[in-house]
Amino acid sequence: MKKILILIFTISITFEISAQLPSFPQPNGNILNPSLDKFVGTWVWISGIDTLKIVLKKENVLLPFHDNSRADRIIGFHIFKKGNVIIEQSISYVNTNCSDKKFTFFGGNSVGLDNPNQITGSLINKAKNKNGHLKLLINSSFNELNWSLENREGVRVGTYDFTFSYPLSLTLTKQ
Amino acid sequence: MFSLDTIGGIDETALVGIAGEKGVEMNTTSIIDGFIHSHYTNLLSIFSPDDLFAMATFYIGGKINNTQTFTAGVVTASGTQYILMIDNLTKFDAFANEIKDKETFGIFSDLYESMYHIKETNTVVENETAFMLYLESNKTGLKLFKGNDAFNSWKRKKVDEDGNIVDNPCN
Repeated sequence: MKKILILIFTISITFEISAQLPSFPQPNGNILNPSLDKFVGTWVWISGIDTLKIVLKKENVLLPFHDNSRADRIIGFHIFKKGNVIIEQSISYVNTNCSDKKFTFFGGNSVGLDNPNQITGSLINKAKNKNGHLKLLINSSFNELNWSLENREGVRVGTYDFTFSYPLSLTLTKQ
Repeated sequence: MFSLDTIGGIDETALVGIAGEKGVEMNTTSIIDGFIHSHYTNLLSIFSPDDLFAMATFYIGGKINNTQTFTAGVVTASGTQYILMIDNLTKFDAFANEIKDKETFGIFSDLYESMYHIKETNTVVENETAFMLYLESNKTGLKLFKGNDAFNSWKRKKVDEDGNIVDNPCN
């Protein structure tokens, strides 16, 4: 009985440790992630004359440098307008793929480690010629996205604009 | 930022980041031999993707005096201090040119955060292990050294076959 308990305890510990390890990309591997499906769609925020629309697509992406390794990720295309004036947009490229490098959002989450209702990634603020760190948290009805944008941490070579063209925090509604 | 002078001394330029922002600007019109910066409390215990991007930007911009000795350093509030140097210039050249556009850099940033899971909330060992795998898997051509608390001993690190961090005494 004692040996059985020890075995069960050992298996539990092993499972716990292995469950916490990230799924590192492997050569010829493919990391699938069904939790990303609920983020796919068109999301809109309107405030006064400001409109922000982002289209999120799921794609099984070939990872650079990783010896034929693929992973499910979210790519996004957005438009930001003040009235009828377009401040920046990539949404005209919405039918392109990741390899075309026309997206302005790239991200996802880590299967089994991160909150499956949240994705993080890099947003390109084209008007400011910079990348930001974007966190998108979906609500329980899967019809609202909480947008939280910030600068990444690190060294900037040259003069850097720490501001963004749009609010750091807002809520998008699914269309 | 610093440059080495002709008599073995160091000409350093001290820079201060903007309060409340998680970044520091480094402007230079001349070539340099390296830079050292800090990560304050609740920031990463190791180099960030933007730190790697900065190395690549200095390189592509022709601002690195000597690729064999160029040194990027970070000292963090987690009690860690690391140095990155170029180990394989051919690989680093390819890596730097790959991440220079914002789209590809976005992919590398996502790999860092989501797929290698290097986070502010991780332990030092978790981030060290994942970061070294990230450097290797992305074929960055960079090598990592870890310093002691007195900053007078720096040991090259690697991840062994069992996933443990060990000294790599080759260079």
